[in-house]
Amino acid sequence: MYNVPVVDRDEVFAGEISVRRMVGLLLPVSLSMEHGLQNTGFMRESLRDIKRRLDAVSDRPIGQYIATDITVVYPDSPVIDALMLLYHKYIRIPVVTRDSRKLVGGISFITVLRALETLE
Amino acid sequence: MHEAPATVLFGFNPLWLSCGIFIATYVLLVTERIHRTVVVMLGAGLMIVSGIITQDEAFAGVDFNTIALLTGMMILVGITQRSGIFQFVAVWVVRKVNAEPRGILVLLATITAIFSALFDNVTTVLLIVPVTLLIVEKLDLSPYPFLYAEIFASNIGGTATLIGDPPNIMIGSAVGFSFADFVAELGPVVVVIHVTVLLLLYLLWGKRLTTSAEARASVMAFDAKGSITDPVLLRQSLGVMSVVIAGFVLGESVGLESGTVALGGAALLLLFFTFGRKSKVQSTRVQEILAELEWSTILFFMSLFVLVQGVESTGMLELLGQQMMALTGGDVEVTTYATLWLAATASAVVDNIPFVATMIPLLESTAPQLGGAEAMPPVWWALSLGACLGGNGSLVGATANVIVAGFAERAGYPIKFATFLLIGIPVMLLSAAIATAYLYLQHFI
Repeated sequence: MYNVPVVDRDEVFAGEISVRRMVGLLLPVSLSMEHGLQNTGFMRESLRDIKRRLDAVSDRPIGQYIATDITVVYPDSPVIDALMLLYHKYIRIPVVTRDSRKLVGGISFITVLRALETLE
Repeated sequence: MHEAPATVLFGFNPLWLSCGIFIATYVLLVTERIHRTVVVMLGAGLMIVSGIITQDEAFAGVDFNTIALLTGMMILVGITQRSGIFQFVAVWVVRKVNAEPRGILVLLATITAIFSALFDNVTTVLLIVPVTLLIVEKLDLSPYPFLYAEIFASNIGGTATLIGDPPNIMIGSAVGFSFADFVAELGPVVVVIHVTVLLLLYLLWGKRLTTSAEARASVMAFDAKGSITDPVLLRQSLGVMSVVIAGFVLGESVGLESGTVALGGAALLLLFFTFGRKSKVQSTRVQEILAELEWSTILFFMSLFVLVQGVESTGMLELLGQQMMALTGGDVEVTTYATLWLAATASAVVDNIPFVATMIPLLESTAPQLGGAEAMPPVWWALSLGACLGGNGSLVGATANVIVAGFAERAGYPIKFATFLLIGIPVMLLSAAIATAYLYLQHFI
């Protein structure tokens, strides 16, 4: 699942919001927190219960839920660095400028493949 | 093995050197800047390196019955909890009271007390608190009354049995009190204290504990059976736990110590847990369970025994014991009450495990003045009651308290240190007062 990058008004990279985090917001806190309930076989939840939790957060700013400790690469980083990160951990890595940390793009397996295609 | 007598480094006076190492270790423990196991391992190492005791003497100080009992119970609870029994009981009692908030408060606290008496307090709250938070969230109530009740109940319930709280394991092992002795002596007073504390919480919060019929219906829709993840394992766990408890009760008469019973039970449950599986699955399962053991706690205990052996060997604890006798006039009754209140106060501030590990040899050394070992039981019960109940005095009084506070914080309801004191101190004073009255009625009337 992709994470969605988030920027501030000046397009400076602020962090990412993950699909996992958003799904977590639809769950009771006791299920989504660290060391929370693992086994929920006894629970019965209706769509209404879930909708109520969505309504409770839907008008809050996204900045409250983003992860800020995100690994980034720079436009001048060697491609091998990005490949190693993609190999070990990430599906897509944000690319930001070195000095102002403005978000300029992202690199994933697909974007690397495309770049390789254009070599032909 | 070398059997050379220990020679103290640089010709220091061993009494003062051991005392210095001991006090420095305690100070570091209280400040909590360094992990408790690391601090005590360093202190224990220094006792040997500086020549106060030899390695052989150090090992002789380790109470392996305590270590075996502790390790055995960790394995038993590690496997048992996988069956889903804790959640099952929690959901079951909540449905039994028709999800009525006051009933839930009383029953969740009571099952926390019972589980804490049979398993360790930390595991109990780790498993009960998330279910509690879920139920409270569904009922649209503040979790505070429930979390406070569970903290108090875990410390109070743990007081009732030999295996309920580490101080009891140490006292039982050192003095030779059996599982049945603990239940018979401390069970009744623990019930009284538990009920009194619940009444106190009820007076404090009872009126505000109301919720809508709709919210209650959403909890009543829960199906307790769904929380049993492994019915076969559940039956095996309950079977082995029953055998282990029977072993604690009956083992004494045939000379079987509690450490053997607990580790034996652990081996049996590990056998059930792996029997008939492929060898690869067996090794994964055994490794998983053993990796979940709290090695830091086990090493903490072993190092603590060595540290205490160090100060004990130089006569320091005997000296302190004499000071205590001078204050109490060598009277058993006064010593009993003094021990109870000292233990309760100390355990609210410092970890009760090092405190009790120090107090055991200290009190042992005072036995002759108090009329020999036969006169000592009230003092030992006072130590157990004080050390276990004192844990309720502050948020750092027991590990279970810290764990609950962590959950509360993650759920968005932080428990502040000072706020906790407002309820924790009265609860601790009330429990210690009841314990004092009980010891008086039981032993000195």
